[in-house]
Amino acid sequence: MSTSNRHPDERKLSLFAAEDLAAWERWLIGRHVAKCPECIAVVSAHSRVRAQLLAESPVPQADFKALAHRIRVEAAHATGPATRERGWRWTAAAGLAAAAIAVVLVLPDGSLEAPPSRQAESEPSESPLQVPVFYEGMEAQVTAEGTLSVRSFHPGSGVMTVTDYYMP
Amino acid sequence: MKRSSCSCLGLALAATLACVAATAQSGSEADPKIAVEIPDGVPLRVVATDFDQSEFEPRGGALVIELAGSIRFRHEGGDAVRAMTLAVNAHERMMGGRAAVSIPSLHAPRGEEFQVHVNLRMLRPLPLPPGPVVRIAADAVLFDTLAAAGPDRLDSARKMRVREMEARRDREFFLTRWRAGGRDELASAMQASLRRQAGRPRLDVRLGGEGPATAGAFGSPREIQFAFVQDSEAPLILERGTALVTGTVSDAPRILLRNRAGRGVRRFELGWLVHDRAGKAYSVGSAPVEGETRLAAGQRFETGAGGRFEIRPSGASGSMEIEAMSAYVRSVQLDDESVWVPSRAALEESLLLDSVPVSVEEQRLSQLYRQRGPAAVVEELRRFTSDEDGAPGP
Repeated sequence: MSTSNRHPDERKLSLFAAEDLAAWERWLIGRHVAKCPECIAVVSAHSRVRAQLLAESPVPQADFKALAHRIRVEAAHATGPATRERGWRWTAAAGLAAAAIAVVLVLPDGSLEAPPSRQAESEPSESPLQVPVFYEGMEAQVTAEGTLSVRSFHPGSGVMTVTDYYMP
Repeated sequence: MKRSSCSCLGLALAATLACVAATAQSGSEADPKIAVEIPDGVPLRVVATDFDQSEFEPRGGALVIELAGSIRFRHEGGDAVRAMTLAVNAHERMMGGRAAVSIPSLHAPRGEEFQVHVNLRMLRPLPLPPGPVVRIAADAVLFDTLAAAGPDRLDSARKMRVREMEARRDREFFLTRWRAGGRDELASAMQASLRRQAGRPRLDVRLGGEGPATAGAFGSPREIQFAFVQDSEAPLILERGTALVTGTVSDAPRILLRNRAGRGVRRFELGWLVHDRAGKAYSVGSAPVEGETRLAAGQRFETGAGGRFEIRPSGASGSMEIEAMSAYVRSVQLDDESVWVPSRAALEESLLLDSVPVSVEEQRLSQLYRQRGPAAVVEELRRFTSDEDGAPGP
């Protein structure tokens, strides 16, 4: 039976909205969310709250990222299904800086393997930007704008190209 | 009934996807899916586009765009085009939705055509609204006078000027070697460059999220003090710097610097290196800088930016603990838009040449040497300099 026919629980949807799931799990849930109006609504609600938090003035000395990390650690130890109310509280408290409604992990070789291990509870949060495979062998450098810059050489024309990847 | 509705939905989805794929692959002007735009004031005309090799694949709730193709431009302005930057947009707010493609070391006088290759992967969420899937627009064009045209929303003109100044510096270096010793001397210089490029330690850098690094397998975050490679000719002097590091993860560094030039500074870049326990130096790139960076003469400024970076040696299965960090002044744009970059002699004396990436132009010339030999490099050097009558040395 396809996983996409069952609704993911609230906790999974909140983590999905925050892009905080393993790649394969994100892909599975993404497939379901893309076709399920009810789950789209839940994910959208989580995303809206996150966006509101981001738009608000920062609370002095409040570290939302560290707080979000602690919440994720607690979520990993949580037992039983999360209620809709709990999901709202987690997302509200986390203030995670994710992007859109549905997220896809793009891997260099096009496969859907899990990203580098994040099992350790105390590992920092990460939203890696994968460098496409056709730049394999060419390094990526950080720029003053915080983008990743990659060079490539086109042998036919003898032209170098510098591509900058921007974070949202 | 349920099976029939599922089939209908499946057919509709397949039809939609087929539409997206079919209409998005063509790069002709009539095709709206990949739009190429030339803003007013940019003296270029699009002669042809070819994005037939591009692929558009829905995955979950997003469209993965493998943008592969080329655009042919004709220069219809006055001064020769030296570089251009294209802004490539699939979605403003999605990771992987924005990129810039810069092509330095062009040589396009008036009336000449040149080709730009675009090869990158992007994302945008589904469903697609009406309109192009990807918009490619000229952000800036740099001429051989170092003047620029275009909206320049990505600060492209400055970056292109920096690369052009580095390119002129390095072309002059190789030209001098050629003049001194002919083809053999040039080949020797090219081989030395290739050896240096191959031997330079490399990193895999990933952009992390916002906020400080948290405790990991390497223990609690620790503050690393920066060492500086000072250039006596640089308009800026670096005074103090720190970064919060946990194992292989570093926050953006904070570096205090002072403008010692007698005039204002508009923008600058600081090269950022990390050192492992063996003392090997790796170039991360440039230290991120946020906010206004204009400095009056004598003014101090402390860099600081959000963001974390995971830094690992390329190809290594294990991790590297960051033992130390250093920085140097990589480029400075002054108030009059002129650009300062370190001289080649300064880079050699400071041993930075062994750690930092070579300039884009040096990398291009060395690749040309690898593929086509020294004659191709000589031809390139002659194109870009006025040394039409230059003769090799004894």
